[in-house]
Amino acid sequence: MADLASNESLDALLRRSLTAEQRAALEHKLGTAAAEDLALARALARLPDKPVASNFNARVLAALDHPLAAPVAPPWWTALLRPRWAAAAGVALAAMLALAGWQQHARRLQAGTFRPIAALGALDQLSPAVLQDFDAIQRYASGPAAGVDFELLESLQ
Amino acid sequence: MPAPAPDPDAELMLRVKRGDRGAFEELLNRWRQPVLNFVARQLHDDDEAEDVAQHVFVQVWKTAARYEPTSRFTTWLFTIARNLALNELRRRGRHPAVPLDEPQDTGEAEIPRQHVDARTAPPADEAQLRELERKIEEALAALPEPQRTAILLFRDTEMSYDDIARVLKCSVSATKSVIHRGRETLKARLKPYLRTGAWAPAAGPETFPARRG
Repeated sequence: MADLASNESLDALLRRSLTAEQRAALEHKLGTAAAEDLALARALARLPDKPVASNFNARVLAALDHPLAAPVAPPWWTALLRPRWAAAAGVALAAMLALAGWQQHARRLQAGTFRPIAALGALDQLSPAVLQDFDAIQRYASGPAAGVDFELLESLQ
Repeated sequence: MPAPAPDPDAELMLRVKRGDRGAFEELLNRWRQPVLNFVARQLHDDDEAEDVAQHVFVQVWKTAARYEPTSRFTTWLFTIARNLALNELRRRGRHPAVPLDEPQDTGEAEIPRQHVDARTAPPADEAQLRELERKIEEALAALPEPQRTAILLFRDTEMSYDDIARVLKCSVSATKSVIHRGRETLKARLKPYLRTGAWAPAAGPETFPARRG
């Protein structure tokens, strides 16, 4: 913890906005053990500002008048990327995906349930001659209703 | 937990968002110097820095509609400044232009021997101070970009660790670590100069040139 506080004090020495009193107080607190840090902080603090051209503002403001510099309204969908909407958008997307998945599953289930029933319905249209071989047909079947061999039924018709 | 201090720059930026050019000029006057300092020390080229710094403010104007006052204005401003400076550095990486009149000095090994002996030199005069400033600028330029960014933002702005972490897109603890490593690297590189005593006089901001133009 002491190291952390000491490190933050050393960082604070880098602040250019420190007054002479604040700097002296920090230096006193850190003591001579941090002599190199103190020298580095002083050196960094003394680095001069870069010269600003006298027409700096004028050039920026002139650039604003250029058509390409007109403020650009972000596309509507970028609002979804903002933190406050991102969570809601994520939940909505997950719900939509879950619903679509469930619907697809329900359709598959429905098709699987009704196909054998429909096939059994087709048995009504068979002639009695065909049904006399029903036992033989049943032997070929591997399961109950789902195992109806439509190809065989068609060939028998 | 104390409420965060109101950010007057954020207020101005909200006015800029509504197209208020006066507010924009106020921000421009307030921040052009720190932005120029930051960009110039990222690029190590004052001429290019001027163009990039101007572009930073044009981008602030152009993208004002996206500004949300959820974080401090400086975080927004220096994120733009950092991104544009990095773009310029990447462009330079693709099209390097090596100055013919200036040797590349990037490491401790290249520090001239006479400066190592300077620890016994008499008190620094103006020329020596300029030379030391140049060495510090070079040492800053040789830092890895995140370390340089963190140290410059800490030095030139009132940004907190949290604000700097947002600019660097890392955690607060990682930011503290980056600043610590940057300080250590600078100390190692500048050791011979720091021992000269040239920086001995305590220096407050009143001894420096005006911070904001």
